[in-house]
Amino acid sequence: MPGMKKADSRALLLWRVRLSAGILLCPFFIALFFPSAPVWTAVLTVLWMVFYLFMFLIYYPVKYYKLSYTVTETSFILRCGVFYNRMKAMELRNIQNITTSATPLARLLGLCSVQVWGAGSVLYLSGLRAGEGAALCGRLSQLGREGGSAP
Amino acid sequence: MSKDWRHSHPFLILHNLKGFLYMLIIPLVRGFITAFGGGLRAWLDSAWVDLLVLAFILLGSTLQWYFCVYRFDREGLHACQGLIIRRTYYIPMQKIATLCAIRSFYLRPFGAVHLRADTLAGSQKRNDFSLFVSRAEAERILDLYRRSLPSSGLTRQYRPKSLYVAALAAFSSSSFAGVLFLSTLVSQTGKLLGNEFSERIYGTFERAMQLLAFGLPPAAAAVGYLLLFGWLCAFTVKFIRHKNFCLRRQGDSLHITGGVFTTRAYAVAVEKINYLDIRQSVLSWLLRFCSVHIHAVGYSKHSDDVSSVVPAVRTRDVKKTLNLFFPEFHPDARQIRHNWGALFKFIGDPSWGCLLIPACTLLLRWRLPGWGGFIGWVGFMLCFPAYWFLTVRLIDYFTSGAAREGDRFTLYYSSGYYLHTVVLPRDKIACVCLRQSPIQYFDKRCDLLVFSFSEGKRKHHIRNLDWQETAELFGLETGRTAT
Repeated sequence: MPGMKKADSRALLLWRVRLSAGILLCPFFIALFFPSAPVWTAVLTVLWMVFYLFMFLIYYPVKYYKLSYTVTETSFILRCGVFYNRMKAMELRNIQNITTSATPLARLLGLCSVQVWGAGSVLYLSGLRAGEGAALCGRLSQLGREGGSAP
Repeated sequence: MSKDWRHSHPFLILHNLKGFLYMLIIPLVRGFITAFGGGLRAWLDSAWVDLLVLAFILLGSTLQWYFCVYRFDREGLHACQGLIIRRTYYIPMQKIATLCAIRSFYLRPFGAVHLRADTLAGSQKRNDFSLFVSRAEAERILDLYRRSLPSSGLTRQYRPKSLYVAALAAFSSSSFAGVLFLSTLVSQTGKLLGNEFSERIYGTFERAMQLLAFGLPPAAAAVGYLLLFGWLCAFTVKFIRHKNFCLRRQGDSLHITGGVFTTRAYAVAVEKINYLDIRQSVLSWLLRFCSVHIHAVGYSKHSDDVSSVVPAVRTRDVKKTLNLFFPEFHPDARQIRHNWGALFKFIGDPSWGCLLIPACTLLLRWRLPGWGGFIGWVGFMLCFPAYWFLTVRLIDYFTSGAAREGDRFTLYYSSGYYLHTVVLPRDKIACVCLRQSPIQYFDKRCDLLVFSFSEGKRKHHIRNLDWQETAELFGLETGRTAT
């Protein structure tokens, strides 16, 4: 869609690294709880590998492809979703507060996440470059203070 | 302390006692130990410990009351409380969304009123601030709050007939809520008066069911009568709660009172109303009745609160009533709606129950022929909610949609067993979400989820609208970006 901004390409790397680190727990627990059950070990190994490959090759690339955002004169609009297409919008004048956060891994890659809070809802945008996240925060705050102009 | 600061009503001492009840474990444990050890003599010898604990509980509760002071003036509510950890509260007057005074039957002998204040912030389940005050003080505070709101001097008042209140109670009462209420009542009374009491109640119920079975299996008759009786209980509770209902609109403030044994008075700022909800059940839809509810922070927050602003009104008169009391919340005719081929999107969920319950009933009757009568009856009873739900969705199929007039949106949809017509101003929409499933992708349709202002999440869900039309209605075209 024209006018939509994409998340940083390193976001995909971040998600995949996080997934790879997290999935290591699966072989660890399988080895811990099923040391003498080869059939269960084989079944569970196949399951976690299928899950891993699905997330690595399909889920995260589609999530990255679909994740985009824009700030219009009146609203902050976020497009996301993997199986479902979602377009979420929050009016600038209805934004209550904005927070940015970054895990150590995200900081290492120079990324951050932005949470835009409304009264009764929150929009979560991950995988932004740190500078871009701070700029977005400032911009939303400024436009929110100005009240957003009516269409 | 300034002379403006006031103490809460002394009823707070009694109310605070519940915070110290855990200390009664000390006399209880001591009683057990001495009963098995030294007997009555040993228990009497150290009875001073029990007295000391009781004195401590009373003293603690009294000190908590003494250190709880408040001031309510034109600026807002200031309060100070806490014995060891001192807490100071300040709620500005203009931030108070709802102020509520509840005079329960158990507060009447003490002349106390439970005052509750709510703002858009704070917990979804608890009030932002509550205290006990005298009746005169409650009236002073409510009056001060009313006068703080813009007033045009023109007052409109609505006092529904008892028939309309009964209609609201009938349409919105649930059998299961009544059964739950009844079973809690019996078991709690049993705890207080001994198990024999509750056993006698259950025994009488069993005998009555045998007499009133009229050819049905007794267990099936019991289920049926229990549901009917539960509904009657829920109806009575709701009717008593809404009896003497009175709605008054003065300028930009709304005053709602109601109740018989427990009287409730609410003061709500109209600008703090998040949305107006015209609600109909299948029965009220067929009879062309509806009830009007508002959603404002603090109003109808607890299950025992007054929940509506117009208990029952004829559908043809609803616009007239709203024009009188809520001209800001006038519902508009549908501008966008789903396509006619979206029938399965509406009846998909209830169809499962409608097909599976009869199928399971037939299967069980075939497998357990000895229980045939009972299974058939229960299956028949369970089919009711499933087909009821299907009926709601079918009505929704013909009525759902959305409209916009300036900065005011009207949403037509169903949720659970109710049909809703929600009118909400644009500045009370927290978030709009257009959700498109893979199937909807091909015909460019989407579900519209509107989250309105609330302390928690408050979602309005309209099914299968056109993506482009919906985006245009809510001004979500992404062409114009901010500079």
